[in-house]
Amino acid sequence: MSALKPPIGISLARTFGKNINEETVLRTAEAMVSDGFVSAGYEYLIIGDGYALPRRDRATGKLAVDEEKFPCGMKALADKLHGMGLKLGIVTSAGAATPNGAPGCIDKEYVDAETFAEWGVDYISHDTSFMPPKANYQTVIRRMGLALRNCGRDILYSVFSSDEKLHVWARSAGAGAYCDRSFADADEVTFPCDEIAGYSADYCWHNCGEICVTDDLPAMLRSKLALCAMMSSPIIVDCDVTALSKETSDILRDGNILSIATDDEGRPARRFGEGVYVKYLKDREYALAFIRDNFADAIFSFADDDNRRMEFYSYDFGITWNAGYVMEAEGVFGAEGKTEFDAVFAADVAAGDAQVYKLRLVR
Amino acid sequence: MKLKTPPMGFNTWNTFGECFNEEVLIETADAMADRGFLEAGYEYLILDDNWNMEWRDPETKRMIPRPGKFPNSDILPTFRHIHNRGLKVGVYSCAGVRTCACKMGSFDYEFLDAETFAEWGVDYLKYDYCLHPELGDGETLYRRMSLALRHCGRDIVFGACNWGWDNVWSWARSAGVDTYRSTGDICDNFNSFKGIFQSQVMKLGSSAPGCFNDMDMMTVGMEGHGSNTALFEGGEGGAFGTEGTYRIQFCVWCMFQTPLIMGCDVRNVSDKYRDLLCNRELIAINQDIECRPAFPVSFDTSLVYCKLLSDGTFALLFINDDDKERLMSCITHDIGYTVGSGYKIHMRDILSGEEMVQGDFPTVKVPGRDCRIFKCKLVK
Repeated sequence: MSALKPPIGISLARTFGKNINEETVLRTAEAMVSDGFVSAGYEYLIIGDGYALPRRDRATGKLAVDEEKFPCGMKALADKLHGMGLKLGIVTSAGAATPNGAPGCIDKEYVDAETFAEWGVDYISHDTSFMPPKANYQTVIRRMGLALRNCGRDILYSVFSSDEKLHVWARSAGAGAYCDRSFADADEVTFPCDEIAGYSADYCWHNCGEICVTDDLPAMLRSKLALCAMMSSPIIVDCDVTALSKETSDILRDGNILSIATDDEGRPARRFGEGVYVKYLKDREYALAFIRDNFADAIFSFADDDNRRMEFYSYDFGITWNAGYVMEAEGVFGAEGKTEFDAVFAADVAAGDAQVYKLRLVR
Repeated sequence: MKLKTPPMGFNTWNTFGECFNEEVLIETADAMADRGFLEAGYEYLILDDNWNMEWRDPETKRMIPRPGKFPNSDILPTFRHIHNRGLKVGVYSCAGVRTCACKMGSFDYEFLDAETFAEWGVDYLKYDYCLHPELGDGETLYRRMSLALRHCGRDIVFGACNWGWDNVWSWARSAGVDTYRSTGDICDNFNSFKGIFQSQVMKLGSSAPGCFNDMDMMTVGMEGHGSNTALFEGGEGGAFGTEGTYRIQFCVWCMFQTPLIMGCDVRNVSDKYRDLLCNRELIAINQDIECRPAFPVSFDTSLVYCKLLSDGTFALLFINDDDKERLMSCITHDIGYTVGSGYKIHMRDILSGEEMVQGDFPTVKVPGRDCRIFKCKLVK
């Protein structure tokens, strides 16, 4: 039920890994509030899988929290985060172990779902890491889906599984989001192929991957954010919120791109050409994105590939002279200015960068 | 316009084909309102092909309602009556130069036609795919009408009908399409609707709020009646739907969260079928807010489907396509149940009320050419 809109949040899983602790989580939470991330729409704080002891409690079989790292326990942590307007997320595995060696949920799905509910968890990134080769992916993912729906708490179920057919059955298994790559491989934002781009919808969003802020290159960050927003993907940013540059923080909290991401229509964009995407929004507006995702160019700056002219054609969009309209493009992210045009709108886009416009019809 | 759940209503095609008029439509509207269909959620009364002329008004270029069906070519009294009875108006056009019945199509007139429909108070457009230019892109034609509808000044549901061509499921949602027909036309026999739903089993992942897979109008209750002979092709030895197979059709249409558009003559369909079509629990499965698709639980000749519902329960549908009654089972480990969870499965037959508690191998007796559908809940 919580996946009515694509989830937006901060993850500490990759940035901190095993070194996550209560203090870091609370420091992050405070920064999310004071630096305006919560007010911008960042709701989830995903702490990763480093919170757990590598082995289950012998007596109960339940997951055990590492009390050296989390002395107050998970429930107290969750209560604090809830009080700050945040939701708690953790990384789990459908297999034998999580990426950082916490126990996996295989054959313990119902027990663990109840544990998550007791703790007050709101979101799990459920990966198929360390999956026993003979185990069946669909079965274990369906198990956790059914277990979560009966645990007494609304927990958003985000599935990571390198199954190219995941889009066929993820929704039917109860997933609130799904990524057709393993958690380890999902540290890049990529466009789903044209065929499955259309599957992203309310209560089960196609996850294009996580945004890892490792290099703070504004162009790359804009591209990743723009692609997620246009495809109605979850936006999960893995970083140390307390150590971001102002420019990075401003980009991540940009109101225009985030409102495109959570638009009420919840429709994914359609790819109209190499790097050209158009998304229907509510209230008769549309978003146009030119996204150059050749990130290598951004790093190595090949001079003759610096700017590429990218084009949008009203004809392909569905507007011809018979319609009685021309169109207008207004820069809202990575671009500025308003331009009226008849049949084609073009812009020069820097390597690895993105420009997003709002499109309107004009009589 | 964004639909949160599949639309429900009635369409003239299955029973009347090209033969409907103002009088029939008024009677149909009254039947929908007075016989409980509207109350159950069937709100759209959709006129299919052959409401309009083969040419446009030479001055205004607008479509002309057929004067033989609508006195003085005025369709507004009909639409007013439909609205007065609390229903919504649906109309039909085509992305081609002509409709399938060779009446005027909307090609190159999309925006004018959408404005016309808006002025007339139309709430739903079925948009067919016959006779579009061979050299051209189908997706673009649907995008044109989608934009036209968005800007016509009225909320109009966009029901695409391109029979699953052009990889429609990959772009329909992004193009503002509310429903998309995924197969060829339905006929009133079990082979036909079984063929339709079996072809879509693995294609339901893209059916979700904002854009639903449309498996075509229902034939539930038709029993071979109606003036549209096209509906009666393909039945083995002329056989039509039976009570059991109509039950299968309605249960599948609900489980597969496809639009519930009735095709039987609602003025005189029997109370038995009216009650089936208006079964609130079955409709609630179709209208479940999370729109999770049904999935197959067994892959042999048994047809068993499961659908997760937003209240934590799930529905299990057992379809027996054998002639004889038999025991049917499924292995619930395949839906994510485990005995080790400590839960059992409480099952209630939605149609008979029978209750039972089962576990990893629910087994039920299903009559020949019939089905049983259960609301299931995990209980400790």
